[in-house]
Amino acid sequence: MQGLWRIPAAIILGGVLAHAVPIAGSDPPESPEQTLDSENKRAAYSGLIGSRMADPSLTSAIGPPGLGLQLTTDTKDRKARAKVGLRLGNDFFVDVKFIAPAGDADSEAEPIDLDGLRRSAVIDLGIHYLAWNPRLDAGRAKEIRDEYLARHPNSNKFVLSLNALKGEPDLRRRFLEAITWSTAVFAAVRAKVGRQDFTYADSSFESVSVQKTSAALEAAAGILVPVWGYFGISFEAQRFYEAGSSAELILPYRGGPAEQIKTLVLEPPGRRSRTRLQVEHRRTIGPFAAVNPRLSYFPKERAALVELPLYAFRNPEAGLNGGVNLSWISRNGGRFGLAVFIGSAFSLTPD
Amino acid sequence: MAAKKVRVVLKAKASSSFFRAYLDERRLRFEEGEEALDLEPKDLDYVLTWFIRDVPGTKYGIQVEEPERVRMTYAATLDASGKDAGIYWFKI
Repeated sequence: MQGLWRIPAAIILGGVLAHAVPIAGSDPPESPEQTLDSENKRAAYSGLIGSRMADPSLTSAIGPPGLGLQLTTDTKDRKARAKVGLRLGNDFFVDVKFIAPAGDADSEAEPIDLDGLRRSAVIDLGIHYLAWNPRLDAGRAKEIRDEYLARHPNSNKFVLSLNALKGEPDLRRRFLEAITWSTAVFAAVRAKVGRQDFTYADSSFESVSVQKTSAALEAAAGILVPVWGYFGISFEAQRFYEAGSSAELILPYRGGPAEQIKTLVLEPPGRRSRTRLQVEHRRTIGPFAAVNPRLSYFPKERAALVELPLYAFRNPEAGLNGGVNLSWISRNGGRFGLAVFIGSAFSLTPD
Repeated sequence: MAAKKVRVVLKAKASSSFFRAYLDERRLRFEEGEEALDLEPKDLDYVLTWFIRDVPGTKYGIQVEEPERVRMTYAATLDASGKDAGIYWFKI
């Protein structure tokens, strides 16, 4: 899946360069072509990508572009999610998530989370910005080049690279030390629109169906620290509709003498608003697992939600493919929740 | 009298978001895969640096196409470390 959705239009060199070619007055730089075994790929994923941008549940505001499909389910709620992400130019990428509730939309079970759009079919568009400014100390690099030329008097190398220094481990280490990889900084805005069906009874107890549109705006920012993983913060404002309260009524059955008990919603859906502040962290635990702890606070409700999604790697090629989400919300004296999700393979690569 | 500027054409092929290239301290953006700069000749070297972090196996390349006397093409495939960086000195 890796690279499936890459858009190289912004950075194109004429033709695919399979090998470096000699340059005027210099040695040809090496370009080792390696076939990595699965163990190496797994290590690289967990160390490089998995600890950085993985968002397997497709619930975070900032995640790597690529293709993702997920089905999540718990005792009260099921959802299917799909995501398509594309890179735009040097610093921007966009993604679109399609979220469809697969459970009973009219369920009265109180959700563990407070997402006002949780029962809506949602289109969620995100625009991401990435700032990353690594630096190389050219003076130290020149010393390394001079050292290289001293060891290889016949060489006339004007290109130095990590790959090209593989045969000189000490110089490669010094070259690495001259590089400041720096922290990558992300920012994103997301717009969500959702549609949901509601059914209620009017004053003559006739059933009325309506479809309401909910919306949300989200702003998010995060940093990718090479050693520690990803740290993010987001703020979301939602305007959504909530079903009215229901009651059990005893009504005549088809106008006859018999009676039936019916549970009816007696008022149209009401419009609500909600805000949420969230902080999150993402990183891997060993080669086969990752965690994405999240702490959310809902000011209006004065409620806090703690989530601890645990993700499982199936293999490096398939990416993350399942997991569980443990959660706790401070409402009603505190309640715990457990969700399980499964999904198809998708790329974790921040294309 | 100012020296006549020299057109320097650089190209890159890198599909990763985590790819950056700089000429001295200037960020190269490679619109449509190419960036052309008019640079003044100077006694010191111009320094081209580049950085990439991505999945092992990712191919990328960077090239100085003009002027011909400093032409350079570099291409590599990321190894298990998932990263590469390089530097190229040239004088115009």
